[in-house]
Amino acid sequence: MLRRTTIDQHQESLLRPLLNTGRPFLMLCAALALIVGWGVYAWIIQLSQGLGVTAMRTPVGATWGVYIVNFIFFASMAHGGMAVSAAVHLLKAEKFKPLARMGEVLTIVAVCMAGFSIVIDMGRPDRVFNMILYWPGRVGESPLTWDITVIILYFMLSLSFLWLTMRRDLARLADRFGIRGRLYKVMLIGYRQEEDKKIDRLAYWLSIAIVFLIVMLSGGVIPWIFGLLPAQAGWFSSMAGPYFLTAALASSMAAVTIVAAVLRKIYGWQEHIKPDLFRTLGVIVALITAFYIYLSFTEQLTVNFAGPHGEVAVSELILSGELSPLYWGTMIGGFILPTMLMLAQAIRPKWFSMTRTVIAAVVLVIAFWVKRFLIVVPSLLRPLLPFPSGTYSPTWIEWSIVAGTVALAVLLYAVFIKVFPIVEAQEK
Amino acid sequence: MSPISRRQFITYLVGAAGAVVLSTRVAQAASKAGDVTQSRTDPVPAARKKTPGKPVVDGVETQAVAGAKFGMVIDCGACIGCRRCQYACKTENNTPDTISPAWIEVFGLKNEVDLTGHASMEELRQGATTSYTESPKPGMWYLATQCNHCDNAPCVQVCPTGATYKTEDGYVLMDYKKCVGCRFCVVACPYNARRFNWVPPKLDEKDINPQVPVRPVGVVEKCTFCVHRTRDGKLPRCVEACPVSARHFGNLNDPQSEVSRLLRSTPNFRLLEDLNTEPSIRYITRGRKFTG
Repeated sequence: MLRRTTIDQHQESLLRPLLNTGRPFLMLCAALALIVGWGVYAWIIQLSQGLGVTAMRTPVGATWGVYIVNFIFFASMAHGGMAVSAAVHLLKAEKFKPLARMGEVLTIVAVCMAGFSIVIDMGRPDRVFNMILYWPGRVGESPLTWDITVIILYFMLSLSFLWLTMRRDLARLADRFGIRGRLYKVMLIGYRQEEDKKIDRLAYWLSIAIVFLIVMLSGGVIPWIFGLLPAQAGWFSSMAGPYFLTAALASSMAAVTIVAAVLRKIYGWQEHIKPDLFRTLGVIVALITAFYIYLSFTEQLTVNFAGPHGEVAVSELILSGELSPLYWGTMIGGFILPTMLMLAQAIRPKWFSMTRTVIAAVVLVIAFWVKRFLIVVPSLLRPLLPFPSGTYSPTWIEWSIVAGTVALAVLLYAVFIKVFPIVEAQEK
Repeated sequence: MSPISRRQFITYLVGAAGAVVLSTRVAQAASKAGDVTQSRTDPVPAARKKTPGKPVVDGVETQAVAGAKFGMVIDCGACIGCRRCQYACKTENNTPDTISPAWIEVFGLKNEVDLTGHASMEELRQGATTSYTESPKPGMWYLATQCNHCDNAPCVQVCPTGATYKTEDGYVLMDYKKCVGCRFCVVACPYNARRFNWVPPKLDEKDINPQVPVRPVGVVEKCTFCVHRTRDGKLPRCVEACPVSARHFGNLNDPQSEVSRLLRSTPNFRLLEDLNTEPSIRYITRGRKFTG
């Protein structure tokens, strides 16, 4: 009897986000909504006056800018969560189970934002459905149609995955919550107790499909937008796939670390999410980032050793030109230092600190955003024909819209944890 | 009703997906066939609308010239860098001031050959100028560039909607109604030949050439080889406007055309040939050379 109550208390603590909503949460939401509103305002200006309000220009200057950077960033953000979740379901990594749904929701939100970023970047967002309309004729050739295909597939699969694995929790809670309970009942359509086992099997197979799509998306169709174009020195590379995939996994695992740490702190889930978990995540992130640093080195060595003029011009721009402070700052402060910190913690467990791990993760996520900027923009500033050198420094409209999408992502996440259970119930 | 097995279910699913893809393809083919009489592009000038039954490209009713493959020869030995081609193109094709440079860009390059090695891109770029005061300048030569109407065009390959396409007679054209403004073609073009309407175009009503559609905000545009003139046997405006006959245009498939004869008799090159884009513009250096 006694044992039963402790389990119940244990489970009950996981429902804290659904039960208590404090002032700080509402204030956070209000602040986020303000930023989103500001972003919408900037977007309305952009819609009414054209993309000329951005700093993007052609042929002298960058044709693509922070919106495309944002697209890559969010699309890659989508992977860590699903990777953790897949590890739980495929490798039976029970340790990570409390993080599974946190990651899945991160995926859904990030994929939405990635798609949204593309629409923002379009000159004619009113014609976005042309991409679907003409898809059958173009999917054989255009890498952008491949992206649309894989992103939609990935979104649908992750959403189905989240919904299916959440049903048993919803069934347990449907009678406890009023309005939310009604929503749960809609989502529980056709639910039977016996389906739980079936769903476990389904989740296993869905995980396999999703792991495949992770490689297809961040290690395939997104890098191929860049890697397949000989027109842009610095982009054209067979390494683009592995390079982007590594960045995607490292940055998104870092994001999962941050989300888990924040929720753990706010809702007092110290006993559900053990510090050891963060050290493991830190080591995984650090190892992947170390590999990324190595890839960056081989990339720069290749183009500088005996590279063609175009490649050298792009490389010069980031290694010693006007973008060099950004590049070296990112490489050293953003990648090397956090990686060393996390690896040191792995070697000497007594050096481990939750706070430092989370700070390192935050630095890495920002550094990966900047690194994507340093992939997209420099090549566009150095055309192959002798056009004058362009520059690109984003306008306040672009920054506002980028900030708006990030705030919207956090806001959507915050709303989710108030509507649905963010941690799967543990079976004892 | 007996429940279907998983295997059956998957079979149905795959079949349904196939059917959807197939039906959209059929629908697309059907809409293409039905498109002949109706405009797919932006405001077609009323004057142009009276001959029904001709396909519309770029808002202009014209038909591919059977058996032809149009191309251009530019003599950079003769070019004096006056930019009359650029200006003529701009007025002919309703290019607004906001698109700068217009469809043609002429580089003034320093006529210095370092025999111990060739100029690096950075040096070339520093010496390059796109201003046309007092040209020709001593010690400079001029390289006119525009859309190369490549046979293996990367822009056509990457377009997600098919808004840009290659015609059988050699043009690379734009369907401004299909373009979503993603600018993938802009980054895919190694010649930076494509322009984007960052802002709504401002043109004086009286300056508008009714034969060429005005492009709306948010779409990509570029040189059309003056398809509205050249398919009717006229020359592109840039060729007409050149005061030193540095530009030649014609049917590359016709051995008697001016361009074919020029190419037979003169060594020629194409820009960034190693990228395998197969451009339709060839450069020669036959004309009078400038000595600095």
